[in-house]
This record gives sequence, C-alpha cells and structure tokens, in this order.
Amino acid sequence: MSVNMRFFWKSIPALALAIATFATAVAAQNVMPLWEKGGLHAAYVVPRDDFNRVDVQLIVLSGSYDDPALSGTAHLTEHLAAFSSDAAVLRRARERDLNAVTRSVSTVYTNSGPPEDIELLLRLSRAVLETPDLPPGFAESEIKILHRETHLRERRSPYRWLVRKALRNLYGSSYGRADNTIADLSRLNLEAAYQFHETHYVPSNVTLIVSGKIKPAKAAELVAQYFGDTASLAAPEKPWLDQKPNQTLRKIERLSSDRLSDDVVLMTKFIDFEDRDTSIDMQGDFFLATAVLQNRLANALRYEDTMLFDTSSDWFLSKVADLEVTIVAHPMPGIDLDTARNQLETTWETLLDTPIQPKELAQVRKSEMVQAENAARRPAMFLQFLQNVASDGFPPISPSVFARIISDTSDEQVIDFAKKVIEPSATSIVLAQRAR
Amino acid sequence: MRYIMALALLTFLAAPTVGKTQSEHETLIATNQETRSASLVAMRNGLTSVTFVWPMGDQTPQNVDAIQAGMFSVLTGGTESRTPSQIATFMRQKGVSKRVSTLEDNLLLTVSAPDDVFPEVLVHLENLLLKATYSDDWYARELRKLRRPIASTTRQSSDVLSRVERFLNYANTDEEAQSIDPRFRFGKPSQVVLRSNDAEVTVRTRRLLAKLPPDASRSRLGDWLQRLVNRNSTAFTLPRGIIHFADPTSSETLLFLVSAQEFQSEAQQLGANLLLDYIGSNQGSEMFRIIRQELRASYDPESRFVVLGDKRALLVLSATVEAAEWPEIHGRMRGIYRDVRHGKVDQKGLEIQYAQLKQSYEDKLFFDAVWTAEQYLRAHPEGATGDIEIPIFNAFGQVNFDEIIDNANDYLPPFEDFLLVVVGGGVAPPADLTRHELCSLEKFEPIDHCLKSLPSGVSTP
Repeated sequence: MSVNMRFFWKSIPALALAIATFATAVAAQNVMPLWEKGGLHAAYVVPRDDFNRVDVQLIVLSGSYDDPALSGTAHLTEHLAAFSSDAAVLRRARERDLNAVTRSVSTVYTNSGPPEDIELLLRLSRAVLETPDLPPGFAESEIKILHRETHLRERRSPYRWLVRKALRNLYGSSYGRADNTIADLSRLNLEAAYQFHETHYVPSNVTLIVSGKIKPAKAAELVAQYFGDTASLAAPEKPWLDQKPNQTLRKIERLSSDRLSDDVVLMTKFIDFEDRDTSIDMQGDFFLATAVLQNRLANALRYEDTMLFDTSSDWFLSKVADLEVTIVAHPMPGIDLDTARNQLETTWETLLDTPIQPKELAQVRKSEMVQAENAARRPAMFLQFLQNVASDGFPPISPSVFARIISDTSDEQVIDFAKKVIEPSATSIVLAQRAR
Repeated sequence: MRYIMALALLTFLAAPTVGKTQSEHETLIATNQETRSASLVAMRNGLTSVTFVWPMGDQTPQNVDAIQAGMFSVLTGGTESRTPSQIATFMRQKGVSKRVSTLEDNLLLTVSAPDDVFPEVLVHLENLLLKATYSDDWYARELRKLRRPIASTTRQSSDVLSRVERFLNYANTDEEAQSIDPRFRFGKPSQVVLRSNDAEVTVRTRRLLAKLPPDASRSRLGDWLQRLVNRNSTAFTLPRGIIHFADPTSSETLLFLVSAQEFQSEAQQLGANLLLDYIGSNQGSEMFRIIRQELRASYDPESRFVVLGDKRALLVLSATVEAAEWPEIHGRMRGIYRDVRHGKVDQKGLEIQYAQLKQSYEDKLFFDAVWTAEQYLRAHPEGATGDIEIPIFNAFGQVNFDEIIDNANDYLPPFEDFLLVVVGGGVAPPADLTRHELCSLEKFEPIDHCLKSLPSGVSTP
C-alpha cells in the first residue's frame, strides 16, 4: 500500500468532504468477495450506483520491482498483453482506449464502459491472461515504442532517475530496484517478456475487481463465466521482498546534470518492522501515522520555513511490512544542497520531539475521512483507491471500508508506528545539482 | 445537448460596496464596477463552488505570474488570526479545493467544498481576502514555483503548448512594463460564478462581495473601453514557419504543429474539434493507427483541440520520433491531415469521436467547476441575464456528420498554415520545407524568442 503526498501545493488538489460519517453524502461501498473465480488469487465486486458506468480492474501482482535481469521487462509485457487483448476481443480499433499501467509492485489493466458493456470488459480483462498473440513483426517493433516511451518519461520527470539511484544505493540491487532502466533498453527482448508473462500472469497472481453499476449476483455470475475455468498455479517468487539493507547504511551520492530544472535533495529510508511479517493488519496504523508525519514535515518545511520551495514524499509499505519512504526537496535559489539536506535530515530526526497529542490525531482522522470521501466522488480516484491495497494482494479497501479501519485503529497503534518510522534506519541520499 | 443554466442572480448587482483605502505599498486587484454575477446549474458530486473573476488589465507575462503568486500567497500565507498551518488544517478538514487560473486578461479563483460546509468556507475565504499577512519570503517561494520549464530541454509537447498559449495571451503587451509590488490585495471582482442550490450560500456570497474593496483609482468607463478594445483588437495569430532546436546528442525529435483558428460559429468549432479528434485525439485515431501502429514510429502521436476563447482554438498535432526519421513522419502527418481535410473520413469513426467528446463535455459540466466557469466566461465575457445558455453545448444537439465531412476543407486550415516546431536531433529541415521562414534556437533558449521573431501568419477562418 502506498501514500503519495505533495505537501507544497500550487493549488490545493483535494476535493473532499468534511463530515463525520460517510452515510449522509455518499453511499457506503461494500467490498464483496466472489468465490467462483477459478484459479484467481482473488475477485471482488464493489457495487455503487453513483456513476453510470462499470469498471473492471485486473491487477497482476507483479510490477517493475519484479523485473528479472533486464529492467523494463514488466513494462514490455504490459504493452504486449494489452494490445493482444484488444486484438483478440475488439472488432474496431476506434472503439476504446487502452488503459494499462506498470507500477512498482503491480500491473493494472482497467477496462471501463457503460453497464451494458460489462461482458465485453470482462472478456478484454480475461484475454490479458492469455499468452500474447500479435502479428509478426508487431511485437518486436513494440520494443522500439517502449524505448520512446521510456525516454519521454525520463525527460518529463528526471526525478524518476534520481529515485532509482537512491533505491539502488539503498538495496545494492542490480535489477528491480536498480538504475539500469536506460542501459537495459537496448537488450530488451520478447523472450524475456513472454517468460515474464508465463511466470507472473498466472491466475494465482491476479486480483480482479469489478466496481460500479452492477448487481453483485450479476457480477458473480459473469466472473464465474469468464474466469471460472482459470487454473490455480503456483504464484511467482518475489525476491525483492527479501531485500533488507543494513539498518546502519548511510549512502550519499552527488551528481550534476543539465537534465534537471532545479537543484534536488532526495532522501530514501528503509524501515524494517522486524517483528511483523505481513502488513495486512497495519493499514490503519500506516495511513494515520504517515498523515501525522507528513503534516509535521509540512509544518516544519513549508509553514515555518521558506528555505525549500517544493517538497513531496512517497510512502510504500510492502506486504511483508517493510516501509520505504522517499522525500524530494527543492531548495530555493541561493540555498546550497548541503544546507538543504541538513534541514531535511534535522527535521526528520526531530519530527517526534513533541509527542503526538490526541487532538492532533483526531484532526488527522478527520482529514483522512475527508480525503477518502473525496476519492468516492470521482470515478478515477475511486478506482485508484480500490487498487492501492489490492496491489499487494490484500482485499481492496473502498473509501467507506477505509473509514471503518480508521475508526478501529487506536491512538497507541499510530504512535507506535510513527516512533518506529523515525528511529535511525538505512538511508540513501542523492544531492543533485542542476548543471548551468 | 442543451443545457440552460439557472437564472442569473442580478440581485448581486444591488449589493452595497464597502470601500477601503489602499495601503501605500499594496497592489489592489479589483474592479470599480458592479460585480456581475451568475448562477449555473449545480454540480452532481455534492460540491458547491464559487469562481471569482478579477480583471488584471494589460500585463506582461511576468506581472501575471506576480499576480498569481500574490493570489497563492493570500490563500496560503496566513492571516491576522490564522497561521499558514492552521489554514492548511482547515482546508484539509473541510475538504476545500482552491484553484487559481487565468483566462485572457482575467485572474480566476475557484473555490469548491462540500455543500454542507460551503457557507463556513465563504467566511474563511473572506478572512483570507481581507486579512492576509504573508511574508516576502512566502511570496518569493510562490513566485519561484510558477517558473516554467524550457520546452527545448524537456521536449514535451505540453511545455511547447504552454509557451504558445502564453505568447498568444500576451502578444500585445509591453515587455518593459513596470514591475508590480509583491504586496497584493484582491478586492471587488468583476464577475462571480456560483454553483449552488443553497440560498444561504447566495446570501453569504453577497455579504462577502459587499466587503471587498473596489479599486477607486480605476475609471469605470476606461475599464469598459479597455475590455471592448481588447476584445476587438486582440490578434489571434501565430507566426508561420519553422522553429528548430538542433540537438545532435539526442536520438529523438519532437514534432509539434500548431495553428490558431477563429471560427465563424459554434457549429464550425465543434466540426473542427471532431475532425481533429478523428485525426489524432485517441488510440482509435488516424495518427495512432498509422504512425504508431503501422509505422511503429512514435509512442505519443496525438492531436489536441485547445479552446482559448469564444470560437477561438489552437489546433495541435505532435509526435516524438526517431531523430533521423522526422522529415518522413512529418510527411505522413501531412498526408493524414490532408486526407481528412479533403473529406476522407469514416463516418462511423467520426460518430465515435462525437460520443466521446459529448460525454467529456457532460462530465466536465457536472464535475469540473473551473472548466464550466471558463466556458461560461468565454461565452459571456460581459455577464449574462435571464436564462444562461452556452452556445457550444447547443451545437452538440445540432451536429450533422455529413455536413462536417463535406465542409472539412473549410473547417480545418491548410496544413501549410501550421507553425512547425522541431526539437531535438541533428537533421535540419529538408528542402521542401526550407521555403518557410526558419528560426534556430540555442540550447536553453525559450521558444518565445522565435515566436516573436518569425513573421506573423494570418488566421484562416
């Protein structure tokens, strides 16, 4: 599960609701498991009538962290499976757009449409699991397309590159969490992608979520019809889940590049909850504690100081209860990188010098409820909400289920989680100067 | 599709105005006229919104950035009674969204929040607008965040488009205009657009407007004349020719073609929009089908129809391609465009584009307060009375596909009218293009330099 937070806003992105309960404004969104699912890892229906549409999310529980020796393999597989799915099911190319994305720990295929299209959407989702079948030459040339997309994304966000460097230094890994995305482009190949598909696109490594305007019984019937024949096979190994850096690790890399528009300090930390082996029961602790810490970071770095002009953070709690935190900070002109780094590190280390108070936690609970309800207002945000925890192979959390989890989490759980986060831990820092 | 908005609330016009003396070192952004107000159909996501519109007058792009940074500072930098942190907490707890944007020579602030808390949010907004106390450092940081990327470095079509929009918006302004003091105050707006069914919201909005100071130094007649002159004389043309940034170290080139068009009617605008969508707006388009799927030449071939004013839009075609191949792909883009312009269009495909565009307009109308306010303001720049209609919505109900295909030659400009921006790679424009004016960019040089130096084109209706 992950939280991405930008706490220096140009404009405040949240459209949310500040009420104590969900019941008054948006109907609760129950998450119902579907049992006739063949060999799928899990299948769910989340019915809601607010929007006149239905969405099918097929989540392959493997992503770029699962890349084998060649970075980009998971991404190439996503392209091939998506086009193959469309070619197998659609009669006219103009009928719909592809929507597939490769994330760190999952690959998500989303098929959306009016309620009457539900069978088409399920067929498109089912076809993703078949070995990609594309015209001769097309699959091979998709590698070239992937080159272009990768370069395009690198230019759009050079921070992706800095994050990779930080993760490589943190884990010492040569694939998955590594900095070889560009170097490996020329070695990408179809064999690796088909092998990835065979290993990772097995039903046992796939979660299906049907949401929107559909009756649960209808969803159950159709999922059984289209996925009931899938076989239960062994789920793939995930060696990256075993990577645990030495807690005393402290690595600083300095670089200069004209790819950057600003100077950047990037800090990544790894926190090992060594007494836990799953995060399934840590969701409330995670979301509330990270909200407290994010607020305190914003207070220190934005509201009480003007040394940094932009900061964002990304928090990822793996299914085995390892926390990865990345903070990106841009110093104002005239502030050197070491001064900014010192500011960032000192702020981090002293975040809990003032104990967390019940009033502060009450405010955070309310804010989290508001954000959850906000997610329920827009279809795209709602889908992302469902997808978040489900990408770890856990049951999806709808905004109303999230509200229950938040109220069931005690203050002590949150405080303990936050204290653990701030303890000294493995740290990787990149100080990147914009070349002038 | 036909949507009649709720009755314009002319009662606002009668609201009394409380004047306030402008501080010595403070820039007051306000009108001296009565605020024109309109109430549009409520949104369908349980949110209420209000959009304030302030006239900025003729400003340089730098000053517009300064005014925007001032607005961001007012919204976040603290008040006499609340710290920045307390303001942020209030925002999170109430679920408030604030969006700042510009539309022609106006600054827009759109505030949205759940229906049940909106009256309280208006009190919060009043506090911000009347009692902001941000520091100079805070303002400097807001201004720094508004710095734009250099398009020739990022090679993103969105960054090039942003520069072109900026050029068009401020083509008539004086670059050497006097700088503005960073202490801003936002007073009486020229227009207010409200989306609420709650009478309490209307009452509180009226109260807030009554407390906002007018800019007594502005002449009412002068403001009116300036708007009239601006509206009638603002050129909507881009230069013709080629802007080229050669980067031999890069293996990729961005091809970006753009044309500024004014349309004679909403029907013509909608027809051009559909035809351009047919050419490249999504994965069923001709550009995707041919350039990506057949030629395997680009990841991101696309077209964009960017509405910038009443019956005014930018038509954009773009693709990032292998550097050595750009002249060939440019030729294929030309071929696709000309085919469609000559009526070689599959009507079924055009109907799918129509359904997608119509759905997009409907979704935005009921879920996107900023977009809808902008649609209204473009259609009714001087405000509206009685039932409010936005003509482009009505055009959807009268679409005739045969007519669009038959008139494609008139709806779309000739390919030669497009400005071509080529960024990256070392291949110079080939002979068949060199009859056009060419402007070469240096590394880290914004494309504005070339937009200003190339000869002006002529808008083709």
